[in-house]
Amino acid sequence: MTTWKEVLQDRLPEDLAHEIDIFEGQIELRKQGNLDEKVFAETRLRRGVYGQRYDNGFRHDGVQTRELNFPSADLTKGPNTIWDAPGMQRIKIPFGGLTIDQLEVLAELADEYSDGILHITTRQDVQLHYVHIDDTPDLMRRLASVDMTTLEACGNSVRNVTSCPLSGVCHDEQFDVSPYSKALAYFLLGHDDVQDFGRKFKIAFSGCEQHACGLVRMHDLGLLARTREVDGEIVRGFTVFVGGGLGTVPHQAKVLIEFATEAEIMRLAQAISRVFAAHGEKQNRNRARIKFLIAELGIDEFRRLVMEAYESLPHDDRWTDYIDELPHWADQPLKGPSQLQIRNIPDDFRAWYQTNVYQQRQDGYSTVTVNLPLGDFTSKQAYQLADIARQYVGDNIRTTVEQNLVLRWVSNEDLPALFEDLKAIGLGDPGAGTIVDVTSCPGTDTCKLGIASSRGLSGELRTRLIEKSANLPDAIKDLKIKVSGCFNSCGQHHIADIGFFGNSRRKGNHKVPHFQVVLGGQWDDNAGSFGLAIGAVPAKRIPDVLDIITDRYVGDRAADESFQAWIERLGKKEVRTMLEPFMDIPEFEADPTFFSDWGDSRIYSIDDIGVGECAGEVVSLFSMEIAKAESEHFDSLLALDAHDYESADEKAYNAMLLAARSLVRTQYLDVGIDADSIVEEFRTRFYDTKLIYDAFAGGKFARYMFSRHEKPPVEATKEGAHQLVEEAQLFIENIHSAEQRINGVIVG
Amino acid sequence: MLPKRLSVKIFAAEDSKVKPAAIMPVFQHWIQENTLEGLLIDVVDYKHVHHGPGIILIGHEGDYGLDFSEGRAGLLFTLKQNRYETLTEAVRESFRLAIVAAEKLSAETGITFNYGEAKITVLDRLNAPNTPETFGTVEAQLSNFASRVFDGDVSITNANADPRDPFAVTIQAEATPAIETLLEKLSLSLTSVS
Repeated sequence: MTTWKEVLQDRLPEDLAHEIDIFEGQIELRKQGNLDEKVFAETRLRRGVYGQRYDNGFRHDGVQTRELNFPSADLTKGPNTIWDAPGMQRIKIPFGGLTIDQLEVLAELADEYSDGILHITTRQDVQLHYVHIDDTPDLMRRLASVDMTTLEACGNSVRNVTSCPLSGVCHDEQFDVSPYSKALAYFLLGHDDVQDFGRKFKIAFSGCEQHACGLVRMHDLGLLARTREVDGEIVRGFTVFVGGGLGTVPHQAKVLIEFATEAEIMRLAQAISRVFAAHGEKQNRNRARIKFLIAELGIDEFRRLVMEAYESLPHDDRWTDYIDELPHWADQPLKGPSQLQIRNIPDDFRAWYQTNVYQQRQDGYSTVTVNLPLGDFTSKQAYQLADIARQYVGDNIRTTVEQNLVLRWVSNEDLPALFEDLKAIGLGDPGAGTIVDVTSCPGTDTCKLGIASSRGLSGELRTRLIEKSANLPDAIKDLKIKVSGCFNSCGQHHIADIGFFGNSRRKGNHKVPHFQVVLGGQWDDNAGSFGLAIGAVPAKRIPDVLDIITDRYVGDRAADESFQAWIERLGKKEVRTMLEPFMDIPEFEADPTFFSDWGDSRIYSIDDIGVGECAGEVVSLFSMEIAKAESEHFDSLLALDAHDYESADEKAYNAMLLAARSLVRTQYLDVGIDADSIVEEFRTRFYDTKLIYDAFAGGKFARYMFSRHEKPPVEATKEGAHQLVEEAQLFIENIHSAEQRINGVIVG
Repeated sequence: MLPKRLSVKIFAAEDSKVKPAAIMPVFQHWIQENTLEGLLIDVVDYKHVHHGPGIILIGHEGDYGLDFSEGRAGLLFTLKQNRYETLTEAVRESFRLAIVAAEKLSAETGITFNYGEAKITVLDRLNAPNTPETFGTVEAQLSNFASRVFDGDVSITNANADPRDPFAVTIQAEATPAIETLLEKLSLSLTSVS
């Protein structure tokens, strides 16, 4: 039977194809029990293959916790994570940029591997849910065929690099940050210096200071566009922020450098990564984000370490190569500019135009926001959107952190027709970016950490707000509501005017789903300030709470008083007094609806909460890198079986190099990928010093690698390849033993 | 052609009143009571999505959903772990599971289904691209299957015009046997169906 690997072999970038082959090999090794489950968990997370709720094989059905008897039985894809349990696949969309071809492939994948739904996340990624791990290598190949990757979409590495979706068309920006965010995303993708983090690392770019879109102040690394005049020339650069983040306790980022030029930012990001890897917490995942390191060291000491690393980095042309491409970066509008001409404007178009259309700084063009309910759209809608893009804007599509899509460079005269086309596919809803456009993380629907149903609540609030949207007072129309299923802030509740995050309380013998109410966060000024937690309210009373807060704001506010200013004026005590009447929980017998969550008929339970994978597995750099060598060795065995002796020889040799490199990098991070360098460093550091020596065999196994490196076979033979594959196995075992002796570390 | 995945959709009768919100509790207690065959895992709510998959009861071997794609409500069974040896065996079994679920849903919600029309979608573009050639390959097999299961004339037409969509056919039967007969025919392997 033909395979996707065969069909796509000429269309995949070589590096991505190899990465996917390695992962497929690791899947086989894990199935055979030859790869540790923690190492496998981290390796799949670094490919965006994430666990989902109930993947420990248990689910509370409202009455009792039941075992889910998956056929894979004891086979796991990580600690307490059953192989056959459905999982989530996260797909990186650097700076949110999507092409028509990519949208169509995403639609195919949603059809064939998921449940027909594409979900946009609060980091501009796309997620597919209910995916079986066995399908992931082909899924990744199909993505790679249109230059998309899942690499490092989860796990302890650099997550999707986000960027303002209006970059390049915005009135207020200093300059278009899109090409910079793309360049940094690909520079750091798979980079050696981002492989040894204790936790994830999030980066964002913003083109302007006052508006929200990039949210740089809530990121581990935020880059805010600036310009300076130097010798009469305008020079582009960035203010560099570090150590921001939401999470349980939000941190505002600190300024690391007021102005770094475009020639400096790649190197600077690498230096920051190196400092985080070297000094960041590795064991206690609750304190492993870079914000804790900066808090511990202080920004001045952190800056000193970064600049020290900056100066010591070996030169890399890629730090500045991208600058040559910048002049060629330009969006290509599909059509020329034009003016909107419309008589007798229909009410629905007017409402949509007011909230979903942004007049670009380029005269005659608009950016249109496609409002996706809870960030979801179907595979069919993806095709239909691809057709609409093909007709109106070409490849100018972006995802947003508010879980929508934008179509950029719409020629203004096309707006009425585009609106009709979007309406025809059910995506013509107005209200983008307003109070009805509620943002939500997946919550208890699919997340292992979810405590309450953020999507259930968001859907309910959205439905109610849409019903009364025509009569909503202007003062509240533009407020933002954001909901997280737990305190971990994936729904970004801290930076909403009105935020909620899930928790639970007990009444008698029952648990009751609740949401903590967080008020007065600031979306503007790049997430300028965080909201105040006021108190926990039963989930079923949250719609009433929303009404009382918004009604009171409309009635109380001074002229032009912002919601944040009003909350501050009222004070936490008064706001809590306002909410207290809603905090009571009736007896179960009096009103059992309080004891079920939104969008879920089961009696509520927190028994399904599992161990989240956001933090990844704490696995040593060596363990991750030696796993790649083992996978390569496994491929050499397959090649041997297929009688492809040349390939078997090459893969066995590569496996030896990868194994040697994994050990060298425990001492010398900058060994690079050149075979001569790896062999030389290995010889100097481990062979000449006898550190690699086996008690009985001495340096024999290392000499296998030296021999193959110095004398590659003129012609690969069955016997020769077979021997090298055997030798590679022995050499890898030798590396494992040496590493345990030298570093005292096995896994983690 | 043996696809990795396929789905069978049985449409709700046109005058049937379908309320998506009523489906979630039904699917939840189906999990509690092991009402359907196979491992049932969870229920997911997509009723907020226009012409979407509605409410899905996620399983391991297959998913059951009250589906609203193309604006028509119906019971959709998606076979995710295809362990059958032929396309027609996979279709037969998926058809049977869809009808069993539809009957149970009908009993609990009052939704009625028209078993004389079904859409079979092959969710495998590698093995079954949406082309006339694929239709040519499977038409005879599915025609043979349908004529054994239904009464009277049966038509099979290509259901998805867009070549990007997964390959799909619509089966329409002139007459539908009684549900007991239909299920009996579907429970037998095709070679034994007279």
